[in-house]
Amino acid sequence: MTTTIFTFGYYGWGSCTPQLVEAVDAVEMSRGFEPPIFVDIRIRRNVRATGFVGNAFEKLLGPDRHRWMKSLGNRFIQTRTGPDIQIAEPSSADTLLDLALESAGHKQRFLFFCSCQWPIACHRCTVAELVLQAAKRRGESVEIVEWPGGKPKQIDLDVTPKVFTSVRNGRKTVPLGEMTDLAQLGGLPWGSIATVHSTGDKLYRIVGPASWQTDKWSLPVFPTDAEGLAEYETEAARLRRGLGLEAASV
Amino acid sequence: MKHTWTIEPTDCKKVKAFLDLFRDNLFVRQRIERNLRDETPVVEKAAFWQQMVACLLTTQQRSGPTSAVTRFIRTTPFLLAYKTCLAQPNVEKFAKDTLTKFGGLRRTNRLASEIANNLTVLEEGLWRRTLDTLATLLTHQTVKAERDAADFIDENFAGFGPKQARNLLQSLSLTRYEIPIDSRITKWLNEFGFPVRLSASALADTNYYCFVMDGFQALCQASGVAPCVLDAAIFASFDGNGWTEENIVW
Repeated sequence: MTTTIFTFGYYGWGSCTPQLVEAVDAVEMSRGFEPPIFVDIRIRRNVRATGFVGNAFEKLLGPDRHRWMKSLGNRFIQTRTGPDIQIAEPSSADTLLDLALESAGHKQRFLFFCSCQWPIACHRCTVAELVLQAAKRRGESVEIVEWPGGKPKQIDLDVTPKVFTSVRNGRKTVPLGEMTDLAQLGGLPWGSIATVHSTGDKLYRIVGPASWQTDKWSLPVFPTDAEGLAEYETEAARLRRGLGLEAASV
Repeated sequence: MKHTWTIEPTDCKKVKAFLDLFRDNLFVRQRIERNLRDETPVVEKAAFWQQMVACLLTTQQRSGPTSAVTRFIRTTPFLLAYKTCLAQPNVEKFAKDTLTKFGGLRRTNRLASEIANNLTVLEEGLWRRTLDTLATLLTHQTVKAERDAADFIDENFAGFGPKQARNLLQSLSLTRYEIPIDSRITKWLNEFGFPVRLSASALADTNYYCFVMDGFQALCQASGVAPCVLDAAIFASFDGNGWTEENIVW
């Protein structure tokens, strides 16, 4: 059986960590898993994002659902010299794998996270490679994918004429209603296609999982010049690859 | 994962052919004259302040040759000049009233707040480090020095992310390698055949921004072109010949 481990970037969630945990837990529980364990792989935690300063996130989650593996942090952040990515102690990837495999036994998965929004430019990609190498050495079947994982879907969203117009004019989010199904929309795979409807009109947008914007849930939108569903799907697939959002496995 | 940029000879040919199309464009010529000259004048407080306000104005609103932003930036004397702002008992209110009265400008509340915030941090002691950082670029123009200077601005001033930080440095004629990457650049790079699909909406993440910047700089280095010049040519390709001696502000 394959063990899935998630990577995650908290960019944009700094002031709304309770909503982040609410969404992640709802998604994992809808998939038949326990609320997951978050593994912080930053080398330092004195950051601007209030929810992730010091041990703030650990306090929110409680010690059972949080680990800080500074050893998997990027030493370049401290030294500012040498290559952009230097994992402090690469052998710690084995420890992370141990923990993930153990938790998988009782249906609890791992998200290991950094602040960077996109994996392609983040040291968590390097950590993911190290974990996969460790899994390969041990003959374990492991998949690592950016949260929330999954293959892109197509969804339909009904919005007000006002929202429809603003989305058509380039709005970067699609606001969701009061009754947002977090288990579904919080777990919407990156690069999904939303067909946005309003009073007989429709348009397509490339979207990602729901995020909390000031006071409501919204879907982030990727701007594109694509026309027609087929072009949207092609562009979404390119973006997933370009941002490092595809799964890797051994 | 470390992405390796591989530039083919055909890529260099394409870059040079593109640049040839805009070699005589005023905007490109001015960029060469201002940003590639051997001796750049020392930046004084008033000039830094004016360009800082100008950059803030261009966030999320049109800044083409005939835009309200460009007209505002070209006011003489500058309506939000350093000494004028410094003399105000309530600079936030003054900035808001001035921007509103001028007309045609969006986000006046946000802009006024950012202007007031930045004046406060400068006057409370950040001027020295700011001017020192800028002075470093006069004698030490390297990718690293430029990136460090951009990070300094990004981290210390309200309204500045990775793009606007570089916009500010470039407008002060201090940079050759680090450029403001926006949707025009990503669109151009995507059409050019950049090896990973780029999304302008992802650029707020500094690591992703630097990842794209690395690729752009690699392309320019292999082609024997200064990044700030290719940037100007791309900018010109979108605006045509709209920039003239009278309205050019960047």
